[in-house]
Amino acid sequence: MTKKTVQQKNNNSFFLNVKKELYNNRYLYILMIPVLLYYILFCYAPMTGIVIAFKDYQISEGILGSKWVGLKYFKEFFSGMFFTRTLRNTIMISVYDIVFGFPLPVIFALLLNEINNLKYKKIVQTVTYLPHFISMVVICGMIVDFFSRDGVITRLLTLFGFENINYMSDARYFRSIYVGTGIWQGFGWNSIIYIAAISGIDQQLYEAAEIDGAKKIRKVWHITIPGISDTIILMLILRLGSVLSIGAEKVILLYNAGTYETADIISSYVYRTGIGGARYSYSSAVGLFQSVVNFIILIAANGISKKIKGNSLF
Amino acid sequence: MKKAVVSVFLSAAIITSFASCGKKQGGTRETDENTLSYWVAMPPSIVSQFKSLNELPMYQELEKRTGVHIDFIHPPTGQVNEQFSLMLASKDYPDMIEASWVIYPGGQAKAIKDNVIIPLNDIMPKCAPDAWGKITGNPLFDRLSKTDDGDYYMFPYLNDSNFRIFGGLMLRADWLKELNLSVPTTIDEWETVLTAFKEKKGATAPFTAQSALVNGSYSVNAFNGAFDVGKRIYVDDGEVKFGPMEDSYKDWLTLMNKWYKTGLLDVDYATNDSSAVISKMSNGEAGATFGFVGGTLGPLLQIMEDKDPNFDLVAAPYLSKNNDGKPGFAALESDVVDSGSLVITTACSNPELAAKWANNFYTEDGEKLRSFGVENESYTVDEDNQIKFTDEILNNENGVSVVEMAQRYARTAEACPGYGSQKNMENLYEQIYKYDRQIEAFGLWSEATDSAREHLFPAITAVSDEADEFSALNIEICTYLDEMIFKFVNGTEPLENFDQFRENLKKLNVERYIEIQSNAYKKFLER
Repeated sequence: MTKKTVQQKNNNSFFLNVKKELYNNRYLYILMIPVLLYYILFCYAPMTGIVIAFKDYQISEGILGSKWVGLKYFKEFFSGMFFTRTLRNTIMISVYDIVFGFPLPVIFALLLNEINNLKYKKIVQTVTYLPHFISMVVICGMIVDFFSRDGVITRLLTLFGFENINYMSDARYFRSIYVGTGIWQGFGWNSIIYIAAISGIDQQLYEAAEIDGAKKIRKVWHITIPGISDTIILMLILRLGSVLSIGAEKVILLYNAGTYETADIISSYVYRTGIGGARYSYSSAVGLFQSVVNFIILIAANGISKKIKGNSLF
Repeated sequence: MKKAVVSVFLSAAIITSFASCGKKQGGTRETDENTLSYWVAMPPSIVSQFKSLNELPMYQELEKRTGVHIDFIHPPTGQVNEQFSLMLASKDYPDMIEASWVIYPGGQAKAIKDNVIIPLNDIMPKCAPDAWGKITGNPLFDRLSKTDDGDYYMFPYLNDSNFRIFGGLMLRADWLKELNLSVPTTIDEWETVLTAFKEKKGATAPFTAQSALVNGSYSVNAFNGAFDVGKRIYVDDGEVKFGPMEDSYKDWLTLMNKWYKTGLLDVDYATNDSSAVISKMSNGEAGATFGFVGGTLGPLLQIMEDKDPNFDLVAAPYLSKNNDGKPGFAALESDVVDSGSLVITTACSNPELAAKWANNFYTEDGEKLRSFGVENESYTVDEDNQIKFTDEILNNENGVSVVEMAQRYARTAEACPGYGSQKNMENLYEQIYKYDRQIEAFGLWSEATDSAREHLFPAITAVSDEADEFSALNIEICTYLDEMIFKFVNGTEPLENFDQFRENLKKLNVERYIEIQSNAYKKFLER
């Protein structure tokens, strides 16, 4: 039956009206309903709540009943004492994360691809995935312990001539610890998509290259990397789209008064004001600002990629 | 065809699972006339033991006595404040809520104005005479239990005993004895003792603490008392003051910085948690700390009982300016603890019934029930009419502490709606606290009660129209303060910059911050 449907569609899809299309693929459309509902209910409907960023939201008045205040909360944030600092920290952490964290899974996938011993390959893969499955709270507990004065990592570092201090309460090290542990936790997991992309490359290309006398490095450079470059660009655009939105939970679990200076980011600030201080409108305004900037960067990155490389996300 | 059948089946499965979800949600609220719903955070100590307070013998017994069934609603642990806000925003209130209303934007008065909770001025005298009598019978209770507008709105936790200070300074008595030193009572003596601990006993962190030693928490007032300055907002001679804006605050900070530099203060104080403090105290890295009777002193004595028979901890008195014996700042619990207040919401169809039910905690029987649990199950009464916990609770074989065992029956030693009389509390604490050192510490610290109360800023919030402004100021100022104080203590920010720091506070509008609190305090006094 499926075959027939496809044929019909190909033959006179132009004349099929929507009703017929719906009828013919009704099972597919039925399957789509839950997903559609999910997006409408949990992604699009709550978006209307953004209006509270422009209102003086009072729990008792509700979203519609609260007074309009225009850009009051945006002004408050931009002129506030913590604006430059949280913005700087957010961008710094994000940029570090992209510069150091983005290439690593790609390199890892390339290396893994060269391993011929299947068993060894599987073990390496599994071991590198594991940290991804540990809960963030547990990870942060481990980080705090390992980097404290008697922690495992601190002791290791002192062997190499680093000072014996509590690294978690020193503002100079926060970003390195944050980004470093993030890479450790995620690089195995993030490499999956590249490994999948590599396995999709036509084996004939490699055979042809071998006949031409290409060595391993050549093959990687001329076949594997071009073969997954689309995936890399796609992932980079997506990553750039969240430059300003670093998850707050890890920062909140790791920072303390000693590291606010380098650790306090926009999302942790939103958390403190919104949840801690019950200032919903203000934190919505800050969150909206963050999303708008992300959106602009995403569009820009997409545009640049379209121009240079000819392919893009949309 | 097979594919199609499978897909239909799957969609059906998904849709029905959605549907059944919705049904279940809607069915949780019963409308039985003798059932009341009650929103409260699970006490942390019993989260692992019980699913709901309904399983607690105390509430089961109460149901037997009153015939009223309580439908408990518990927010997930760790999300209490978020869930509280969500519940209010959804406008789907339970009949009763036990929570801290200070976090409601605008405070209790606003919650009444917003039609969330109902004033109890008429209902309480009629339906809850015992609670009414206890509240209005004591001017302090009375003032703390109503709003600025004179509305009584809650069933509070009324602590009518001397047991109000649960924390204080403590140090190694065996070391003191060995070094031939006495319990320090002044800053100089403390310095001598801590230096001796460091040099002669090899303590690497002679005085250990948690970050609350210098930042936000009101309850930890370790050395600032000697400088007669509060760490945050406090009251001095009827005037509301803010510690960092006072000159003596800098002196206190200078001392902390000096101790940090000379290694008397644990350099890791900012990242210590309570278990780090306990481990440092027990392995001899530290010799003194600020801790609590039940949370620090008791566990330490218990842990060390087998390990080191010489180990002994003694409480040190709170410090006061010029050592005049009137310490102005202590870990003083307010007379009416806001966090344990029970209110009746506008959603309650039978407020009289709710009030009658809540009144039970203010009668003599109710007090016993709340503190000791159920007779012949968790406690017995002997010939002299003395209440005593059962053996199961007092001498538990699994090493569970008395208070934790008792909390499996009742809301023992918890700040929850009800009344605690001197007689019962004394009896309770004598049983809960196994070691003489604990009782002794209680007595010593409690000497600070009256003088510390003079400086205590009550649990009040900014008046309604200033609430949002206050909240904004509060967050900015507290963040800045926490950070700077930490830097001043560890020396990253030299103390010469203290004036600059104060200027920055002024830029953050600290004066308005104080003014708003001052206004709230004035209103409070007029009650």
